[in-house]
This record gives sequence, C-alpha cells and structure tokens, in this order.
Amino acid sequence: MALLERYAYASRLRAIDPLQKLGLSGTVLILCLTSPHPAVGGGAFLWMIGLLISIAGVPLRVVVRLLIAQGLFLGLAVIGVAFSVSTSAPPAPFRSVALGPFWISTSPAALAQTLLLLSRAGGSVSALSFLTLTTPMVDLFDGLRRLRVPVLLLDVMQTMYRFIFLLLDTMERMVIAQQSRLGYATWRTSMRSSGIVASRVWLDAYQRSRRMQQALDSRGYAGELRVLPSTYHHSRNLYLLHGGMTLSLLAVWWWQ
Amino acid sequence: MNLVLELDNVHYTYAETGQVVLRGVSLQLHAGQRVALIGRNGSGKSTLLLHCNGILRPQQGQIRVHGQVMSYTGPDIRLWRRQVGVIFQHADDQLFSANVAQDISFGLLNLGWTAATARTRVAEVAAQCGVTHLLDRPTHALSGGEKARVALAGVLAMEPAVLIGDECLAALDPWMRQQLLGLFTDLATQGISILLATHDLHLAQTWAQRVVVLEQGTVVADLAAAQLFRDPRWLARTQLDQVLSLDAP
Repeated sequence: MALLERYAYASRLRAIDPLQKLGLSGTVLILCLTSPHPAVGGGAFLWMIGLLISIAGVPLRVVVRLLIAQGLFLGLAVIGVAFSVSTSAPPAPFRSVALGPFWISTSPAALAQTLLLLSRAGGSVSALSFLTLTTPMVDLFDGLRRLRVPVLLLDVMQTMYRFIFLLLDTMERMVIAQQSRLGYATWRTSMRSSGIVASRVWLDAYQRSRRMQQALDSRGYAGELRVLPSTYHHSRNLYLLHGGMTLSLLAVWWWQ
Repeated sequence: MNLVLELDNVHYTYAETGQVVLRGVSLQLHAGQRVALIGRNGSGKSTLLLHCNGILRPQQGQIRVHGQVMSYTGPDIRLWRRQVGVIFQHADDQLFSANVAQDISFGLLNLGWTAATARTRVAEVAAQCGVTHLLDRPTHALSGGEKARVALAGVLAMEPAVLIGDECLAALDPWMRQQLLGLFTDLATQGISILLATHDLHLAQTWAQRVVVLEQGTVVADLAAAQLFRDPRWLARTQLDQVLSLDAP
C-alpha cells in the first residue's frame, strides 16, 4: 500500500484535480461493467495501461508487477467459471477430459462467459489502478468531500487510513520481537504467535484510539475532522484523452 | 511576570480503577517561564498535564487561565485549548491527517479560521518549525524527528500562551532534541510558558528555570532548578540524590 502511495505522489498527474481523474476512471468502470462485449473491457484495459505508462509516468515494471498480482487473483477466480468437474462425461457441446474418476469439462458458452468476465474485471481493475497510482488518498478524500460524501463517513475513512500504517508498524515490531524469541520456529509456535499478535494489535488500536481522541480534543475537535482543502488544476489534454477514449470504447461497443 | 495558568488544589481519581492519581496539586505558570516537571513513572505527570488543557476535569480543585476559572463547554473550552497547547508523548497519536499541511491546519479550522488565513498561518508555523519542505508529505512517511516537529507545529499554529510537552523529547536523537529545546527557549523569550514533563534530569538541570517534582500525585518540590540540584537537603527530600551524583555537571 505504501508503495502504491509512493508512485501516486510521484505521478505526473498528481497535481490534477482528483475529480477529473475520478471521472475518467468512473467512465471506464461504467463502460466495462455495462458492455456485454469483451472487446470493450480489453480496449479499456489497453487505454488505462497506456495512460499510466505514457502520461502518468509510472514505470512499466511497476505496472507489470501490479498486473501480475491482480492477474493471479483474477485467473484463480475464473477457473471455476471456465471449467466444471463431474463424475460422468457431460454431453455435447461440452468438451471434457477424464482425470481418474472425474471429468473436467468446458463449453463454448462457459469460455465466452469467462472471457467476458476477464475483460470486465481486467478493464475495471486497470481503471482503479490508474486512480490509485495517480491519486494519493489525501486527494481522494478531498475529492470525495467536494462530492458531498457524508463527513462522518469521510472521517472514519481518514482515521482508518491513518490506523492502517500505525497498526502495520506495531505489528511489524511485535513480529520482530517474537522472532527474536523463536516465536516462529515451528508451525505450532507460528500459529500461537500470530494469534497473540492479532489480539495485541486490536488492544493497541483501542489504546491508540483513546490517546488520539485526547490529542484531537486538545486541538479543539468538535465532531468533525476539519482540514485544509488542497489546490489542484485541470488538464485540458487529459480531458481530450478522456473524450477520445470514451468515443473509441463506444465505437468498439457499437461495432461489436 | 503575568500569571498564565494556575492549578489550585487539584484532585483526580480514575473512575475505572479507583486509583487516586492527583492529591491536591497546586501549580502556577507565569508568562515566558521554562518549567520541567519530573517524577517517577506513575507519579501523575501525564494526568496532571491533561488537566492543564481541560481534557480531564478535576474532581476537586480549580484551574484558572489568565486568572479566570474556565468552563468545560462552549466558547470557554475553545479559548482554553487555544491558550494551552499540548504535545503528546507519541507524536503518532497526534498526527491523524493524511498529510502534514492538513494536520497543522486542524486546530485553526476548529477555531473558525478561514481556509485562506489558516493557509498563511500554516506556512508561517511550518517555517518556524522547519517543516516547510514536508507540507505535502503523508504523515505516515515522516521520521520520528519530523513527526515531533509537525506535532509541535500543529500546536503552535493555534498561538498558545502555554505549551505543554508530555515527554515529547524522549524518543528523539540528541541533535533533534537540542533543536527543539532551542525552539522552546525562543518561544519562552517570546512570552510563551513552557512546561515539559521529562525523565531527563540533565535537561531539567540545564534548560529549565524551575523544576516541579511530583511524587505519588503530590508536588514535593517546586523551586528554581539551580536551588534544587545544588541543595543536598532538597535532593534528599525528593530522593533525587539516589539517581544524581552531586559531582555531576
């Protein structure tokens, strides 16, 4: 997560209004989820990856690493859609392979469904990757605030975001302390140590939240985490790319 | 010198545990004073400091700011928290915002400042604390020393008359500690009172003008640093003689 944040801060699109980037990702997301044609998802995927590398300046190796991680999840998820397992040979149009007492089979419809699912998920995930790799969380909170997302929800999101790093840090220190006393020497001790860490991190979160409440009160907290809004600019080129991309994806949809 | 903050016969017991933490503490802080608060772990230092800012309310006794008894609600508490700023022991507990500029602005916006005036003040105080280059940085990506300076900036932004530090220098390297102590000294010359809770006796001896020793919720000594550390009777009375050699600098 910290790595994604680092690239978001270094992105060439960092200073652009988060709502503009949110709009671009949102358009892609809507097109991917509503179009019944895999080509739209595929096209969106290519657009997003192209924008990330050429416009946002995210290194190719980072994008590839991210795609591999996401692809593994996606790949595992669609296996169940593409293939089915039975104890008898399924009829046509299924194509099947015998594996001991089991039959592993697939059909053109299942493969088409898998392709659509993959393209939708791939396009959507690439749109979200575009957003996360170009927009730090602080800008997203700012954008959501301007979209009039309820303050309470934003405050909870902001506090959770802060606590993720605090608790990760606490967990890391606990694990190192346990390792130094052979806490992870065997499978059994690993399980025990992990359980202790989980419960201690929860307690730590509770204690920290009390201390944070006191710190907030000491600076006049009155039920809302009020902070300075950031200043951004709008990019004409990105608007043009946004329009071009939307038109091209709609053309693909229509052509299909 | 003007009396800025006054605690008068403050008693406090934690309701959850029934532990009596403060037993009739009285303390006065004057404008521009540098005061060190020392005492063993559990002597009540942190609890006392939380009373100074109105976070904890005494079960008995009074707290006055500029001679006025403060109420714990409404405009009074806002004024109180503006006048008395607290820097906590762990800077991480104090930094909640996603980036530094936002965190420093928090108190100002709570005071009702506009975004434009708050932005100007954030820039001023960031320069004063040497964190201008960090304003856009996420708070989780700061080093310990940077976090401490940002936490200080967040409190200073509110233009307090009293600055309270709860062992806020304990985790810092000697260089950063020296820098912050220099800043505290500058603030004191500008008329801001500084009250630092610390276990560092050298700091109490060399930086503070006055030292308050708290023992089991009671003030057992409140006098000039030079007098406390040079007088064997005071050292014996506060049991500092057990940890401090008379020959030490």
